[in-house]
Amino acid sequence: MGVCILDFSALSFHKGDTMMNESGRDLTGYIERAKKYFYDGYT
Amino acid sequence: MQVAQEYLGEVDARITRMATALPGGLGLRGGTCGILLGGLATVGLKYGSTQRSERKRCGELELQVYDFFEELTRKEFGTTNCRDISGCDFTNPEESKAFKGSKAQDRCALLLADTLRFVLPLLDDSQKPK
Repeated sequence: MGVCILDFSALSFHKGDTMMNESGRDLTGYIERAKKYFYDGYT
Repeated sequence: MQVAQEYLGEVDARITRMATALPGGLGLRGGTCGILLGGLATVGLKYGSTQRSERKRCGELELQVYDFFEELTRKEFGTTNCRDISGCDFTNPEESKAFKGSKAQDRCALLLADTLRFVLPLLDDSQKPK
């Protein structure tokens, strides 16, 4: 049985109110849109 | 899946349509949470292959996504199943209607956001194999 070591190095981090990932890409719009799709019943 | 495609810069409506099977724990039956399934499918969208021999990276990242989500839900829910997390039987029209606008729906939205914060950066080419 293999052992999986969690690697959270790709985790994003907050920069003020903006959610950025390691490459500096802003995730905020994507996450807000995903939540809107979710609330609207859209995949 | 829609947002993951937008993040990758190419939207195929067939993939979005296919993903409609995931919410509600697979066909609304309350099984594995659609957020987890969507996260795994998103990794497959970027790193999957029709060739079994080319799936190593994809498999590694899918393990990360699964373990992340399991840890995310373990304390509060103790499961990755939709029905236990949402507290809703989506095959029941009354329960499904009550879910809309509920605190349970808000919790699911937060799970979605947390999962996307983990999954979307995995799609960046800057994420080199470890």
